[in-house]
Amino acid sequence: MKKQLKKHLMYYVSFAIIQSIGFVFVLLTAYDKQVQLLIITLTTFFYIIWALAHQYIHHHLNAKIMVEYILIGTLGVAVSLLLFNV
Amino acid sequence: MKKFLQHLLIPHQSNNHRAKLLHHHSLLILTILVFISSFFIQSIQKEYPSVLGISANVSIDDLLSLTNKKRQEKGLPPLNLNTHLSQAAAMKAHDMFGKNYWAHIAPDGTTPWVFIKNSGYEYLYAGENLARGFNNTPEVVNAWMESPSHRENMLSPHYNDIGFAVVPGSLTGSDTVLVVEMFGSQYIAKDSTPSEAALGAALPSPTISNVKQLARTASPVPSITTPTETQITPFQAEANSVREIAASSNNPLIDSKSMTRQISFFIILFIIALLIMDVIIIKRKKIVRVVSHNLDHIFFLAIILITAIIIGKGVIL
Repeated sequence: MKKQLKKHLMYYVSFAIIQSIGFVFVLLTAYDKQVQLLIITLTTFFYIIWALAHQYIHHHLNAKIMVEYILIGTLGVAVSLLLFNV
Repeated sequence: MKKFLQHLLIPHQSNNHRAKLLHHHSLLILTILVFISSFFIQSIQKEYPSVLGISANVSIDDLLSLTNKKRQEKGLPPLNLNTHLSQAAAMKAHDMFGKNYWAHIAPDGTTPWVFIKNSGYEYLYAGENLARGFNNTPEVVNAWMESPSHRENMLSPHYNDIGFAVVPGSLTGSDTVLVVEMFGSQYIAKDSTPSEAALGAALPSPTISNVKQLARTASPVPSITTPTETQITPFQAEANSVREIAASSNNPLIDSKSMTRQISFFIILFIIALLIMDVIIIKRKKIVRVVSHNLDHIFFLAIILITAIIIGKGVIL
């Protein structure tokens, strides 16, 4: 895991920044659950795009990997929906 | 049984070196189940609120006693529960649900002081604290005490009276329990007060930005006035009814908030655990596979988990 982190350091740093921005916006919009859910969905979308772009750059991208990212991302949104209960 | 669990949870030859529960179709089924559960819970909540609903374990008596306890710890006199302020708090809560906003000042410019005036409470000083989404009374009071501006209201020597409303409802897209706390000290008749000029000079002028505390100026009408003041229909309930609202709604059979939180936490933690186990076992066995980075998923799901923990807490304003 450490090796992977070092090898793709820039990717993980930018990934953490995107996620953190989403997280901060979720905190800032505590007044409206629907807006929070929208921000989580957008952050998930960026997570999928960013990860797929990274895989593409490193020539690892294939349909199986693409589906896996989409499924994990959709699961994250589904759990958020359950959590917000909206 | 052991083999079946191994097949489900641990990378092995039988599952093509990837836990069966991390296979695409398993993730798809899990995602669909979560979506269905979400809509199912929402439907039950609407149809049978007594079975599945928001638990309101916030009591007005406890709010009063805890607030007064905090004041007494600082050597301040206790506040008296005032019917008019409780009515004003209930009116404010119903206005927030009716107009769907979460703020001290309504989108149409209605200030908290309008509700206090409409309740018949002639104030010299007034203040308002708001809270939503808390599970019990100590959490609400502690959250207010941790915020400097809210604490200032709770420990202000200017106030003599207090009123509360604990009202469940749907606000900005989610079911919640709203707690409105109104503070005040009554405006005494002319002959028992200092001269108007002296009063006006001694007390700060009310401003919109200083929402939580308002001193009445020397003029008979507070300087914060809104054009909508006359349009507000006073909430007819007395303070006792407010107590009833809180009492009647606080005991559904199952608390939907804690249930959905527990399910969400379990799913996320379970998938994270599977992914971590997958990384460790595959590394040990030095198996080469074509899959996405588990680390990406772990980070992503961890962020969702942290968000869930943070947003699950109540919010004060």
